[in-house]
Amino acid sequence: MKSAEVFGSEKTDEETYEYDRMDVTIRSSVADTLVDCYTALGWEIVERGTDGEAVHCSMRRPHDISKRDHRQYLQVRVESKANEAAKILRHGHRASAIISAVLGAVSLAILALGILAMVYASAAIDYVLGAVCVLAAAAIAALSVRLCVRVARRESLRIRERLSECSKELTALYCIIRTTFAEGGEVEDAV
Amino acid sequence: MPFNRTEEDRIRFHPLEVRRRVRRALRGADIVKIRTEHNNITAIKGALALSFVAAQLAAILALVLFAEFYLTWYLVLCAVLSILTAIYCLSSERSTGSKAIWVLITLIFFVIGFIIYWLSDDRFMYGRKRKRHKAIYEETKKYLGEHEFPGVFGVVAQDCRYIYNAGGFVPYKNSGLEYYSSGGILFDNLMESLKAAEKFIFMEYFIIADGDLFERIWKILTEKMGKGVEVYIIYDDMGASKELTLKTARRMRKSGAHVRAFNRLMSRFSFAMNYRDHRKIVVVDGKVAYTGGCNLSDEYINSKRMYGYWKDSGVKITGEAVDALTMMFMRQWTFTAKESMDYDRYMHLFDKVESDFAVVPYAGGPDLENAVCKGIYDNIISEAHDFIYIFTPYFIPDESTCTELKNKALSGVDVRIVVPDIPDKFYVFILTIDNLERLLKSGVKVYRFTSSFVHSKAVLTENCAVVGSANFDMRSFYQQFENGIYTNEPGFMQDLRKDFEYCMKESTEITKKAPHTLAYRAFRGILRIVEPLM
Repeated sequence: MKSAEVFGSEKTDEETYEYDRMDVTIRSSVADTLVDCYTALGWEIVERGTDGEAVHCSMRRPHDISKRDHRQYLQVRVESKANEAAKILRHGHRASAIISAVLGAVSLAILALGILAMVYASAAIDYVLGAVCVLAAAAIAALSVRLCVRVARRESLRIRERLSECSKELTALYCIIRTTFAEGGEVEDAV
Repeated sequence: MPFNRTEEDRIRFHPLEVRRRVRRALRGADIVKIRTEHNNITAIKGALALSFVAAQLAAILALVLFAEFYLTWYLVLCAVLSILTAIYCLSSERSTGSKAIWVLITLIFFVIGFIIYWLSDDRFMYGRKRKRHKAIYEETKKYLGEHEFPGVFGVVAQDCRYIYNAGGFVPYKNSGLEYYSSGGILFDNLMESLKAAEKFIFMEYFIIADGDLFERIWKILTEKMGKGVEVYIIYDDMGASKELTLKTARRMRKSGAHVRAFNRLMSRFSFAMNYRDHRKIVVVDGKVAYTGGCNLSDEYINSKRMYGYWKDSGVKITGEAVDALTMMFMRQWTFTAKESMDYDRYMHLFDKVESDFAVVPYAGGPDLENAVCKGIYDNIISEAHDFIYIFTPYFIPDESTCTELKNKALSGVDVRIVVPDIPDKFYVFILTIDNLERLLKSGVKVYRFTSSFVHSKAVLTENCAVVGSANFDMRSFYQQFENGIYTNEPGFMQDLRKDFEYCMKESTEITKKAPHTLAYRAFRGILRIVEPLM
């Protein structure tokens, strides 16, 4: 397979397409690790701005760097895994949140119905029905708490498992990048 | 782009500006956000076109309801016409699945179903255009000239005969091929060729989009036009509608380039609006040509991140076979622009290449009677005895192709299909995965290229290789203008095989059907109904 010819062989004053550029915003907690990854992939940090939450980096890399596609592929994999970890944390307790919201709303509705029935009762049966509704609302609330706790425990376990998998994959990718593209390292002739 | 700090750059790194940008960027709670990412915004043009179509359909429906209100016998007439239309549809040459869905639509919506059917029948809505295509083909056949057929035998000879008889595409020898495993490599090489252009540049793309890649190429084209090089560009009006701004389109036209949009969206309602130009062809001076899956947009070189890593393929052609792609472009230009070209001027300019292997550039589309792209895929699958490797972003073929692959796998042929891990259209992906999961039992191996969107369209067997623009779906087989290269050149096949092996190594193999929720299965069931129309 023919490799790409050096791009920009007829350089003029304006045609300086030597570098690819990229701007990235990374959460502060993992910024150092990810910046390290980018550097290992051949990116040079040109500008770095920091806010409390995140780090903003502007980077460049020679366009004709070796194995550019393989580097891009590994880079995307690292970014995807990192964002997958964030998604797991964000959506991890979704089921328990939905259950608690729905059951909470239902129990509140029944409680409100019971209270209204008792307040505007015109006969003894209305008081009874109102009381039954209030008791039912309390029972549903208690059950929903128990259910939510059980579901949340299962979700936490699942989150831990998935984060652990993510972390292992990220570590593996990081190792591959470091060993493959470290100075003097050779990558298997992939593409 | 050259990295020179400008005033804008200095402002860019002001702390306040950073905070604002950071908050915007991390709103989605991602850990890392690439500046080049952005979501597609539905073009105003696309929305206008849809509104225009909806308005026309509403007008038809209003007329029909009006007629019913005042003419009670009209309802009976609609029912009779729908039944007759359904019978006609069943006796037509459409595929079985397509017939089933059309009969369903016609009978259930009997008030308007038969009208929609006839509006979709391309013998009425595309008949005249197909005649024009045919006339152009007949008129321009003579410009292909005489040349020696490659000395091939066996299945390759059979395939060459099929491509020639089904579409009139000539097999060439004395042609060189290079395989590119990514858009980045393809466009780097393409830009070098463009810089060396002296006479003309032809470009035909489904998508041309504003961005870094377009600016780089446009700069080269502008310089070349200044030196007298003719530039002809065809882009698909629907494909380009999302990301080619009006300003850029106007700039292209004003610069002196000959630019045409294929099958304009804002025409009268017609199912023929579904017929898009999905080809990707570049010809430079009649000496070198490029094709494959890549369009002129940043995501194809991974300069923009849309669906993970964008995996694509491309081919560079030199020698006699370049004429075929030149002819394809000129025929499409003659049809789109309704102006003739001086065919003699742009043909037979290739450099001599010595090679005995077959290189057959072919095209498919509604302009041809036969579904050439599907036929080629079916032929090479049926002829394979050792292995069949397929790259495709979508897998929604008809039953015959699925059955063929299943039978091949059951016969011991190593069938492997590489598809995206991150899809661009979730509803198409649901059907793709469903179709592939059905093949698992027969021994077909399915791979999802991790964190990537596989946009390559390629098939490789021990006999031959095909790389082009046609997906494994009904739209590419029957409704879109596609093109590709068929070859038995060993170096090319070896490069393609290396690419397959690399991708499969980096992929996750699907070994069994994944469990799905009831809602997912219900939605998939609905999609299955309209699958033949996808």
